[in-house]
Amino acid sequence: MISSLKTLFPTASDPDVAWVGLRQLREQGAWRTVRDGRPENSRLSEEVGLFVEVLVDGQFAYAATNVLTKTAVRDAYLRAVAQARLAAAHKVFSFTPACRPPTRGTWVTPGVESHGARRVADDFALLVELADELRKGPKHVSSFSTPAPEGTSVVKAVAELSWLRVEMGFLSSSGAEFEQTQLISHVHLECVAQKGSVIQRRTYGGPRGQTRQAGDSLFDAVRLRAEAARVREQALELASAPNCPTGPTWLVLAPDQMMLQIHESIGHPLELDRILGDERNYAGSSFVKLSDFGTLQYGSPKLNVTFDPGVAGELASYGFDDTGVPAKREHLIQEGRLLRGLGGLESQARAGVPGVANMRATSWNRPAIDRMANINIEPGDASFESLLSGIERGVYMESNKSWSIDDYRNKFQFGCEFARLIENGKLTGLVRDPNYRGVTQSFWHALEKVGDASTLGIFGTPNCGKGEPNQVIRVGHASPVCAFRGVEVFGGES
Amino acid sequence: MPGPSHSSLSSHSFTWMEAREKAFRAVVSGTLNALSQHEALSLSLTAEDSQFVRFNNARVRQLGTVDDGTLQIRFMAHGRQIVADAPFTGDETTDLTRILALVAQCRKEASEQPEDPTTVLPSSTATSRAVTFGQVPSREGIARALLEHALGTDMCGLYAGGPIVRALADSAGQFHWFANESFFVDYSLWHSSGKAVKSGYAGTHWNDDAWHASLADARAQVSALDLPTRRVSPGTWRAFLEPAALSEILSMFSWNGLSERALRQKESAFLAMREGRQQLSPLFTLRESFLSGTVPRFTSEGDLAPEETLLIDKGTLVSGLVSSRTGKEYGIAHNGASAWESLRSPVVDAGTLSRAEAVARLDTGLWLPNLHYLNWSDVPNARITGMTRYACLWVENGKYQGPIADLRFDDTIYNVLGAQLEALTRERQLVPETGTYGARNLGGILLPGALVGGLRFTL
Repeated sequence: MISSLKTLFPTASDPDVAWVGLRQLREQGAWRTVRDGRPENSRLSEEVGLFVEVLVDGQFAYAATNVLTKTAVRDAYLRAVAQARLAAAHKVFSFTPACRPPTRGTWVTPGVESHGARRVADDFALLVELADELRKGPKHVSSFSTPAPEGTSVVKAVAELSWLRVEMGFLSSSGAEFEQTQLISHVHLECVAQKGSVIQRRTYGGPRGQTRQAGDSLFDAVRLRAEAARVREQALELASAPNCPTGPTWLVLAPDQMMLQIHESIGHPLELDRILGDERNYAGSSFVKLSDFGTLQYGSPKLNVTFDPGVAGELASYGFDDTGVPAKREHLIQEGRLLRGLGGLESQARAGVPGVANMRATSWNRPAIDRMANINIEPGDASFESLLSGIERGVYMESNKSWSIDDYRNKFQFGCEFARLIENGKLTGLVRDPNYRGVTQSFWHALEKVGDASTLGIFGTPNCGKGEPNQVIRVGHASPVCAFRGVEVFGGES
Repeated sequence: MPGPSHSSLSSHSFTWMEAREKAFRAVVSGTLNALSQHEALSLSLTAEDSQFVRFNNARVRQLGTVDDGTLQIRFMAHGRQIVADAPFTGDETTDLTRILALVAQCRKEASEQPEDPTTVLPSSTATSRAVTFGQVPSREGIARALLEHALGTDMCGLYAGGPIVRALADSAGQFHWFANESFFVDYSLWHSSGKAVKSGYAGTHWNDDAWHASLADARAQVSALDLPTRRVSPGTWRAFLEPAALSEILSMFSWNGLSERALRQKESAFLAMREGRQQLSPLFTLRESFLSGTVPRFTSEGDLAPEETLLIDKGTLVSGLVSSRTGKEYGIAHNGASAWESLRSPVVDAGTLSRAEAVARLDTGLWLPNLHYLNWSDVPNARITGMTRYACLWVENGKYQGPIADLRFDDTIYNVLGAQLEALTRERQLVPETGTYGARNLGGILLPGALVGGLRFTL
């Protein structure tokens, strides 16, 4: 890709142009879905385009095009230069070329080269088998052989997989020259069960939670058959379960719900562009102030949060952000204290606080903005059993199904697919429609126990929305099981 | 090409639209000619040449242009169907070569996948053409046009403008072309307290005076935020939802709401309404209406919606949104819904309450211009949660008392638009669609304000 970018690179003869960069993206993938035994979706996708960016008089401007000819790129370059020149009088900040470092290198998803061309027939055969498992019950897994509770039935069964190869190349007038290749895969299992007017949906790790940087290993048939049997079993149990109780209690969250909790109440509030006000008209602002970095006790001393784009297999792993900053693990919160924000070089220059390599764009047709990557909670020292052992009464919840938080990231309410009561240190009866609500800082201060590495789960979502014009981005969140004291939980309408 | 004089259209947009149409027709012709017997195909085009200006503190944060196009093909053969997306550049040779290769790939993949009994083959021979020429600010002048009258304010938001195309053609002979040149400014003016007034200006013909009037109106509203912020306790309060706030609740109708597929597969929040166990207020009537012409009636699947479809009539669910695929699966007629079965051009009937009298009728409660981040908190019971946002005000005895600290609500749609709905305003407002995920969206939602007797706030 770099060699083709070199042939397209515009000659920058204008002395006012302080920097020019080309960022090319090529994506190719497939998406296959089976519902109730028959194909629901069979889709191929291809996307190719180029983001031309310039810096003139302290103002960046861009022109994006999917016409990859020298003439089209030259036209785009001239358009961007004209835009930057005229907008410079109104710029919010005077940027320098230091915001686009001259990085060189190559990065690929580990194992990406082993990804072969998947056969359509094999994919559909697997998906039909999994959907059958979800609907009709176990054929292969003896541990899930109990019959459906009386009066319950499966009303919908979905099995789905996708893969996407993402190649990016970057070339700049200041000497940046790097490429990276990611292989994104996802698998989704879903069972909807009904008993009378009670309808319950159970999935494998929440909506799109099983999205990883991985290849064929994610589609391991033996493991997926077992997961399909478990998903079906739990959907049927949920349809017969009582409502989640109401009141303040211990709340224990599994990694596939911690994913959402981290995302909404740590990731977004720490984004520097939100704190600087760029997002106020769309995704919102933050309760965090620039003066809080280095001083604010964000949560309990048990809370340790890292920005880590280097975790193998986690969804938002990369070598360089989309402005060329090499990715590096950093502590955002250590022993509960806020250290660092999620801001790339542009936000760091404006805010004067430390940040990370996180300016990323959804595609070739959008500018890079401050984004989460992999935002993870570091494991503590409690096994799952010891974490539960001191809890007399509480609720354990798995798999997000509802999420809402205010535009300053304070008041949240989240719901889960699945819950069990905790009684005298043990998991007991299953309850349906579990929800909880709280306020961000008091919630993280109520973090009492953090599970050890044996409880760690790695999840991610490809659908984090932000920015004007709008962009979605892939983020990863890894977390151990965590326990919080005195959280308001409640169920559905009775 | 029909339409008003070219003096009202930028020559760039005209040239761009003309080139896209020429290329699309060539790709359609070349691709359909390459089909074998027993094969069918539809081609759906989404394209735009957009100018974006993102601003903060009434200054430019980011700006640029995006010349983009995606061609989606739906290939059908022997009861199999594959959908494929590819770039559309507007260059006939490049695009035709790419699409022919994609058709070959689809042909191969279709032969390897199981039969899909809900494949719907193209059958219509309808054609349509709707081209709206506009006048958007020049790319050279946009920053100044936007910002010079906002100096001294804390204005934040996005300008997006330029030509947009949606087109559809298929092997049965259908051909639809929809193009316009339009813009929107989606913005908020911020008070030093951290509260803001949300506003917008959208259309096809930019007018400096209209933009300045919008800004002046928002500035006047910001002054209402000078009053101290009140902390209102959770509980059930009377509330007036301005059209933008009500549009947030209506957006939930497109997410496991009115979808016929979701209703049939037991995942709709309105299943109780379908089964006659619940209903909304007799004051509430909702329809899909394409009479305004701001959204094409055709879908990317090649289905054509009626000009109007009544969905909820005086509180009773009379029709879901039925795509052709759902129609075939369940043996019912489709009503031109998209594959997502979401609202594309919704209209809520007006009520009788004068907006000028709304604050007096509210008496004591919450005046809610905007809501934020809604989600289902209990789908089978149509319960939603979300937040107040921007300049929400406390009202006592019919008088504004000042902004509130934001509150979380958690209540059922059957309450909010059912038993608790006291009145809808006779004035309606078009809340423009400002979404730009992937591409600039079209249209908006036309709806009144709503007076609600009791809305449950929880945090």
